[in-house]
Amino acid sequence: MSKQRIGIPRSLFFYSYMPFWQTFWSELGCEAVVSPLTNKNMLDQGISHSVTDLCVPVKIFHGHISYLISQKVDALFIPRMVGVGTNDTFCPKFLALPEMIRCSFSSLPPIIAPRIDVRGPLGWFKLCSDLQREWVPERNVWGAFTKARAAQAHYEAQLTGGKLPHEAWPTFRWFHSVEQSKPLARTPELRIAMLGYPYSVYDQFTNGDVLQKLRNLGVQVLTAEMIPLGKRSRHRLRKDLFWHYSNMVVQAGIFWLNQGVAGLIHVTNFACGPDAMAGKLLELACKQQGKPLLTLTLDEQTGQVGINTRIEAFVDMLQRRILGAHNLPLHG
Amino acid sequence: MGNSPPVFKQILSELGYDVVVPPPPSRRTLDLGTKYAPEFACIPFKILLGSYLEAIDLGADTIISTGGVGPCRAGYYGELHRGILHDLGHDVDLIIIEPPLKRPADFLRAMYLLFRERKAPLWKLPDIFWRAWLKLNAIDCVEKASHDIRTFEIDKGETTTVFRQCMEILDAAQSKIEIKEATDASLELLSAIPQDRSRDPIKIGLIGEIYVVLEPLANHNVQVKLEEMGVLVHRSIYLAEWTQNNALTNREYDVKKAAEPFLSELVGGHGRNSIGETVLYAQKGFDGVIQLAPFACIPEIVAKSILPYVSRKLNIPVMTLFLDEQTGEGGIRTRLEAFVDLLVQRKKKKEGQLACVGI
Ligand code: SF4
Repeated sequence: MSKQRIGIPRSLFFYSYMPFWQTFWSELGCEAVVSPLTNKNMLDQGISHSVTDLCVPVKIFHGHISYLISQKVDALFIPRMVGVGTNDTFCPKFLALPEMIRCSFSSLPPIIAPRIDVRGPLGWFKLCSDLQREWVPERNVWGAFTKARAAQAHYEAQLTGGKLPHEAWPTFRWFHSVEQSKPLARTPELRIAMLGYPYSVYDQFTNGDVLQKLRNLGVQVLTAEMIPLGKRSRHRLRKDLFWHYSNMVVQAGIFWLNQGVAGLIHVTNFACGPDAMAGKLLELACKQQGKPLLTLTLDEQTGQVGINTRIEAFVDMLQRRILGAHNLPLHG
Repeated sequence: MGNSPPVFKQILSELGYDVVVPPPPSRRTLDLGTKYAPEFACIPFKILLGSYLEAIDLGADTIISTGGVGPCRAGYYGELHRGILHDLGHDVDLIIIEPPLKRPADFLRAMYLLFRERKAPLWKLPDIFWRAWLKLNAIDCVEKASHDIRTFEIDKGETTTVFRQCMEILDAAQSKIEIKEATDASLELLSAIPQDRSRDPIKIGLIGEIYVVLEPLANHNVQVKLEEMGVLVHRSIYLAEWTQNNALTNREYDVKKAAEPFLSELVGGHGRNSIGETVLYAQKGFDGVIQLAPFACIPEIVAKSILPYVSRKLNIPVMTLFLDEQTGEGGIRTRLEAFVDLLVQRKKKKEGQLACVGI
């Protein structure tokens, strides 16, 4: 029997869980076909397959699916993300993702759509063994499961160690679209937290490679994934938000503000529902601490040039603030 | 929301509070809210914020609102409203009533705050709430009656005028007997409107997010507009009914079951109901469905992306109206007219076919 080919879209939650699922399926003897980096063609495909009012990330997700369909995979892996044990849930669009995809394409390979609402290792194991029993009954789940967990743990450790996804896991590696110039050296070092949903922060096509751009400007970029969960959730709000990623963004914002970063960049998506709330909370938090906030709103037409000028201006401003503070006379 | 403010006013003033009822939401309310709300907050958020600001102008120092557990955003509004109001320098208390079962501690705290300064004795409370409940039901009942009549009225606009009178009558009713009498009087007034029952109107189901479905300012009074075009409109949500089905018990099984094949997961807000109701309307032989939703409302967008599929499968046209502060009266009217035209054509064609089959 030839290997089953399972299509895995590199989009949405996969920036958080790719190592797990990629390892899991390959260890079960399937071929994990991961869609490539988002590109113009995928975006166009995504737009033409989805209803106009959706946010860009979900349109892009449609694009990844359409790429995988064109690759003639045997099945698509689209888990329904409900909860990962953090007492919050995902954006409703994640909750209905399998159905949305089913309604948007006329012919589809089978969809593997487990409902992911798990707590602790036992829950994950149960989920995995259900999947294995249904899709690859001839294999054994235990090995695949432990390897997948190890891969995920390794990945998360790398992230909390300060790496970015493309440095931590091979699938995420990309070729820089922004030219690599020699980074400016800054004294004192400028630290900026860049916050947003992983699929916006790390998808260098949608955000015009802001991360690399910032690094080229000599900035030390800090993201939400760099904070270990335990530390992050110490910065809870009086009432938590309902959505996993939004809590992550707001908590990370407060965390980094307390760590004395120079400023925050909030990467958000046009018409993103949860972000309307999260963004305002970040704004209020920044105001309290007197720190500048730059909001970058992405949509399908976001131009690289516009982003670049805004980032440069922001970085310049922060730099001047820091230097200005250092030149202040010590006595009034 | 909709016609309900007098009821809440009654409860609170009977508890012994000085109640400030902000004027019914207007363009000004919306503009005010829009100014201080995040851009992509939905229209209910903006109207509420605007109303709070208007109430504060009128001297309110405490605001009562409801919470929620998500995943729809509305459950978080109160928290954010509080943040924004404080940031603007208003020193107001926001009492947020959280669902008693999911967040008992918060609920009890809100109740404590709410009753701390009450002047009415404890034994009176059940009566106060019971009468409010009766009144809410009475309002719904009268409104339903008005919708059954408007489509057939001979003089355009008459039902609307009469309905306004009815609301005043109901507003004045306090005791149980008065409420009963006011209801009867209202129904009588309505049924006295001259009607042409020989019309054979097309039937449209109105679905969507509860706030914009109920608040005429947000939806530009869609239901009345349609009815004045001679359409029979069935609205899926009435406040008293909804409260009973959701907050008190959990009785919407048929809607959920109808939605099941198309969307099995609860997506917050009214998203899954929108699908289920569309299915039910199709089964009941309605000519079309209109979905009303705030711009950027996530559960409704999810529903919208699944609805085309439902519409194809069950052969029922569905139109979605996303509403925000920029939605203009004119735009809505043209879209409604176009949709109604389409349905009328379809209906004629269907009847033509049936006639042929008959021969
Ligand atoms: S969180 Fe925002 S960007 Fe992400 S899927 Fe939901 S609406 Fe879209």
